[in-house]
Amino acid sequence: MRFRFDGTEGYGQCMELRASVRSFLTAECDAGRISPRPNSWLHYDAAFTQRCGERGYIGITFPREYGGQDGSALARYVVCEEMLAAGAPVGMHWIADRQSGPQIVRYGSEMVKRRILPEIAAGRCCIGIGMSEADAGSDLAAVRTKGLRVDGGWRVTGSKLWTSNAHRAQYVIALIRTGEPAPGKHSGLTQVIVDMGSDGISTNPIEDITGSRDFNEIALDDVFVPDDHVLASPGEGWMLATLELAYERSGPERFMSTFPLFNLLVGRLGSSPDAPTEAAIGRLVAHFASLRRMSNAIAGALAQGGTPNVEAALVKDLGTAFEREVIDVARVIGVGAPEPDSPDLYRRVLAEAMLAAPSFMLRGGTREILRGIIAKQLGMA
Amino acid sequence: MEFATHLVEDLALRMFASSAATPSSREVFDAALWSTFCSSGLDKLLAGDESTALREATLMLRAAGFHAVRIPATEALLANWLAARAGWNETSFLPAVVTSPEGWAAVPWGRNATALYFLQDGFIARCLGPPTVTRKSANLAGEPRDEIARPTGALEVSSAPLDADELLCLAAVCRAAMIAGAMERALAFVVEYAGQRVQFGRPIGSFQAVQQMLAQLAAHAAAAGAAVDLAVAVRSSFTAAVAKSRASDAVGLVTEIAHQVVGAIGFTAEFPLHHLTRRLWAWREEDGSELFWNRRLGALAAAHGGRGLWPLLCGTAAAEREWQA
Repeated sequence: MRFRFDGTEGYGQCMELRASVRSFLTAECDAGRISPRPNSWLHYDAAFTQRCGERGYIGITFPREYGGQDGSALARYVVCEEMLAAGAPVGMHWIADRQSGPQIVRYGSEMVKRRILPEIAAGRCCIGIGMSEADAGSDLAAVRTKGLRVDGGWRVTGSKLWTSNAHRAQYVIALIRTGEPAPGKHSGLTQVIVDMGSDGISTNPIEDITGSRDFNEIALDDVFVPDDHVLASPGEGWMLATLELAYERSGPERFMSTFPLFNLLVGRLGSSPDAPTEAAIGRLVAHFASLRRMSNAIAGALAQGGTPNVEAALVKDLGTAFEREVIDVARVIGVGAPEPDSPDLYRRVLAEAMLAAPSFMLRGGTREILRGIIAKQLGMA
Repeated sequence: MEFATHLVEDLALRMFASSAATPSSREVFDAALWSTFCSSGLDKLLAGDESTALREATLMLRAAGFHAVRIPATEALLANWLAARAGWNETSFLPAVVTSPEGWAAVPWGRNATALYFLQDGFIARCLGPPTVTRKSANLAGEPRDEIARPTGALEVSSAPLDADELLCLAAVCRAAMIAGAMERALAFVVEYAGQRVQFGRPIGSFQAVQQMLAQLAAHAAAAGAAVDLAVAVRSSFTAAVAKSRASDAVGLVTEIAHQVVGAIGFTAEFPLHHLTRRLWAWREEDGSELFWNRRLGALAAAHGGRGLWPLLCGTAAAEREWQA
């Protein structure tokens, strides 16, 4: 029983790009425009995103005719990991760049591609994910938001939950029910691009335990969605959701959410830490390097048209555990206690990481759901 | 190239499958397999300098770990690698290799060896003929790990210098590959068992509690394999350390879950699971335990400091010259 993570390394090809992103980020930090934060892919900073767009760091893989660069998945990967390593606030464009954009490239109508993709690439467009609902969390296929067929499109009514950035996103891609669930409940689902400027939409931000208000409840009341805002064809929503989850679960954000803490921690050790500290840090290094290898191999497989869903689940399961371990190791080494408002960056970052940690193993599919997917692949019914 | 690489793997898997594990807690040298192995050329996969050599070698070793073979597969690769470096003719010996200064106390298959390879003051050395065993011993799997006396008689010392660390790192990658292979087998084995064993009227694999454990086992086995793949794709002392650390680290959880799923029967000598799990416990210590490699990696990270950590991890630090496809 072997899962394959043995693609070829190709980082060497992107050295120039890496260097340019890194010097951009150093300059941003030095100028005080950004400051390293854990969980930075959820931090929304419109000005920063626009600067990224200007420099061509968003939508690299999109076709040129839609504002992209026809760049490789590896180039995009390099940009992403540099951003995360620096703890840069990439929250505004992260989801659009990671999954919504690529989905539109592959399954969007010509009109939608022309309208939305260049905006994403320019750093002016935020997209939210409208999958979960109050009664459809882990059991995603239980969504009840309904689309009624009308002339020229669909009328959508229902509600979505946990949508990051919905209150400031230009679009939300929603998974809705457009047909009867028979024979399996995975049929009759459709993904539609909801223009958040449409009539009938209201969003209610929900404060999380870290004090931030990133995610929302969205109420949709008879919202019109034109036919050219449907992704793929009606009824193919589940297939699309499954596909995008491989993107969503295997990226570097699934093991780098606490990287800024790791970085600051190592910076505090001095050049000759004691043996237990060395071992604890070294273990994190080994785990990190292995995860990065797995994640990168999946990016390669995705770029070649593969669907490494199970491998992605493995990465997310291991990666989110790693993110938590960084916090545990930091606490045990004990070079500073967590304090949310501390003037000391390390203590602030530790506090923020600790409060965010419960979300790591929930978002993008709970650990238990992921393990169920892995077990199913192993042949366990 | 890819095609040839997979031929090597297929050949190794087929050859090793014929090697049935003995139902005993002591491991006996498999002379028949050794002879087939050597005549196939699988022992010399590292003797050449083709770019695919290490990949082929680790695939062969994964197969060796998978089938829990009772031959010195890693040692054969290392000895032929050393011999090639030294400019000596290919060996037809049964080699023992001392991979570190502490290694003399537990030389793999020392009692069976007909030649001994080691480093003498930074140069590759060998002593032909059976080495002097001063104490017979074995690892947790019962594989011979004998104390050997440093040879005092006729030595061949090559003029080829070798960094001791290079030998240890290569040995570590080889051992990690065997660990990854044994884990693949343990996973397959336990999955099969969970699908067949019926309790409460259904296969235990249909229980979520068991499924969650199997998924964890799969994840850690996959991580060990990926770490080996990394060490193959990017040859450096850093990736070698990562490979052995990560593989050794996974052993605890993988073996715990394997035994937990299989239950009491798996604790019997008769049931073959222990041929894998005892090897995993033994191999995680050999050629550097995770503690050994973690301390190295930790010291390296600390030396790079906060600003240098990321360049170290993503391969743009000085060591990155080695970073190539």
